[in-house]
Amino acid sequence: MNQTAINNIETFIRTKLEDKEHIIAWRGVISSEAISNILIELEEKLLKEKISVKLRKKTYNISVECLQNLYHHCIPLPDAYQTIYPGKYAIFYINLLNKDAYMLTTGNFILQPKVKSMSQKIDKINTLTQEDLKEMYKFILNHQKLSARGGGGLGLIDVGRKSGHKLTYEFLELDKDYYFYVLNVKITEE
Amino acid sequence: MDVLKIEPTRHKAGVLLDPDNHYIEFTGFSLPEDAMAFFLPIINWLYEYSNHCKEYIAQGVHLKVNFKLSYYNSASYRAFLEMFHIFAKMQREGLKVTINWYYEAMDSSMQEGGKDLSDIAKIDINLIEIPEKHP
Repeated sequence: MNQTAINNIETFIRTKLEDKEHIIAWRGVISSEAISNILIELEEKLLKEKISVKLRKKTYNISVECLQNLYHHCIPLPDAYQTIYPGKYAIFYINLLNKDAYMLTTGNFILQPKVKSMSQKIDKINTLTQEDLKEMYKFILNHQKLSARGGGGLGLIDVGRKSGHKLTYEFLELDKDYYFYVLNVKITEE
Repeated sequence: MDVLKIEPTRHKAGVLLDPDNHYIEFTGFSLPEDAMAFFLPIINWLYEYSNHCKEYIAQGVHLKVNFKLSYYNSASYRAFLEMFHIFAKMQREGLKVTINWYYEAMDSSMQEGGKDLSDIAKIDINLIEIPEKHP
């Protein structure tokens, strides 16, 4: 284990989670029950925020997709890491940027070969216009097998579409095989 | 055919598939992580229903479908498209089918979601605005 790499990831997570201006700050093992609990908390928090219906709905919708992406794509680390990062370990938080904007962030571990493909996928989404994203979403939707569990990047395209802003990301190295993948999604009313 | 009824939970849709009254309804939050497990019995039911299409046409049946959802995830949406294709096929064969897609005021995402399904599956739907609910 590379303690410096762990410290680096921990510093990153703590900095985010200790931000006072968040509406949700969660870290733990992602599961169906965890998602349900986060969504219940999110519903309550969003209702208390003085924001438009549109922003509230959009934030909830994007959160659902991001949480389910974590659920489907998060992988457990080898045994040596299980005391620090057990199971399908992930983070999910929403920061308040200003009164009309949120920054949603997810983090999960991925295998090193995924770093390149994830970067390419997000970079591709970022080059597309809203109209292109819509067409791409409809194309994949119409050609994806019903049995697919949200593969084909449909969830991520949906997040890009609904956000309307460029997605940002980073990869923090854990060791040569595993990276901590962080995705940031800006959410505004328009 | 039997009625298929699923009670809604906080994050899973309520479903009613009623072959006697030719009525189909989806309500609430459709956010299952494993959408296949949830929707496969529903889609199979619809295929079985569509096998009776000719007799329903002869009987002058009018199939009514209501989508009254607050939220759905993209995996559910893929299942909805499959259903829309089945509805469209039955309509092309001559069955009278009405689909009502409800969306809350200001929820352009839900409104657009219904319109896109209608465009892709090539079946007309009624987009019906209702007052905002929580959340």
